[in-house]
Amino acid sequence: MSNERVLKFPMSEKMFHNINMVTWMILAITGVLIYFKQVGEATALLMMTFHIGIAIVFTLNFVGFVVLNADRFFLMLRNLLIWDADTFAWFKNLGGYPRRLFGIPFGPEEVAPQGRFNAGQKFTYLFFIFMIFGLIVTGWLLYFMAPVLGKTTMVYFFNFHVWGSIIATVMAVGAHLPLAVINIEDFKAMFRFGAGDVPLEDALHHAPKWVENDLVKVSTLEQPLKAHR
Amino acid sequence: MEATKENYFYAEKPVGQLLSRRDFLKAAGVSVSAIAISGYAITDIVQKRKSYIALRQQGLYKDDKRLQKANLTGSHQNASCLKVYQDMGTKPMGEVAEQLLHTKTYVDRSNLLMQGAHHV
Repeated sequence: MSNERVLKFPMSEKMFHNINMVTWMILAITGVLIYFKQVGEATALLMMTFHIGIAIVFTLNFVGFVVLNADRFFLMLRNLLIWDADTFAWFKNLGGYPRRLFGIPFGPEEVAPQGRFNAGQKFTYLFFIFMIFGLIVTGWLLYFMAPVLGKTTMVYFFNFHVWGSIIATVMAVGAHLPLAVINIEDFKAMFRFGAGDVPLEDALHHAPKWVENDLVKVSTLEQPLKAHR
Repeated sequence: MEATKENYFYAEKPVGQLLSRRDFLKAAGVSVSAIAISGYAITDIVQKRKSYIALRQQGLYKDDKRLQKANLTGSHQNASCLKVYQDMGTKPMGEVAEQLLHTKTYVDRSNLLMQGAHHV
């Protein structure tokens, strides 16, 4: 087994992802406790103050990533918006996961080669980005502009904010997290300190088209940080 | 881990090389569309809400003027209403009218706030 490794998550993406994850979970927990009346009135008020404070960090994290790392954001969007024949072919066997995890012989055995993200990730991450943007917009409108927008619109925005975030959280906790743990090299790359690199074998297995088309050899281990300066 | 000859490291090519003009337009198009559509929708909602208020205001003033011409500046002067009171043998604020027409209970609806409920 070679020691060759691939830089998968640059520091800027790790920071965005991890701050987004922590703030999202705090916002989800405080929001659910308040909406489903699981806490008393005084605690709910305190939690709402907390919810708003964390929402500032959540918003700045997203805006900061888009503005300060516009190139990485655009590259991520570019990767998510490539929907070629292989992307659609992934859905024929859902990447082989039903067969691998549950022994269900669903679709052909061979998985169509994928790029940086597989089709399921593309679909899910586009939804997550849409929800992050939507929750930021509706959240701040609910906070600042309630009297201007009118009752009907506010109820619509409120329902989008509550149920949209619940659906996205269920997807994140029920699908994104377990699949990340199964692909343990990705999980370690995302959460370890330092460079977010994975073994080349792993990248070739999950994202052969990415390795073939988008990667470049940058020689020794001294290079990973320089590669994305 | 010590760097050896086999210890190669791979990274993505610079973004400028990966992002073609078509890719850039696609990503920029999606981003700008998201901002423009939500911006337009919110502005539209605010403007429409303002126009509804203005239209309602105009309607009320128009009604006032029409009724002033007909010398009906209050609902108690409406001929149809007065006939109803006469038929029941009572008058506005009279005992029978109060018994039949006035609401006797107050329902606290504060728990329906922001839950999509409509007035009943």
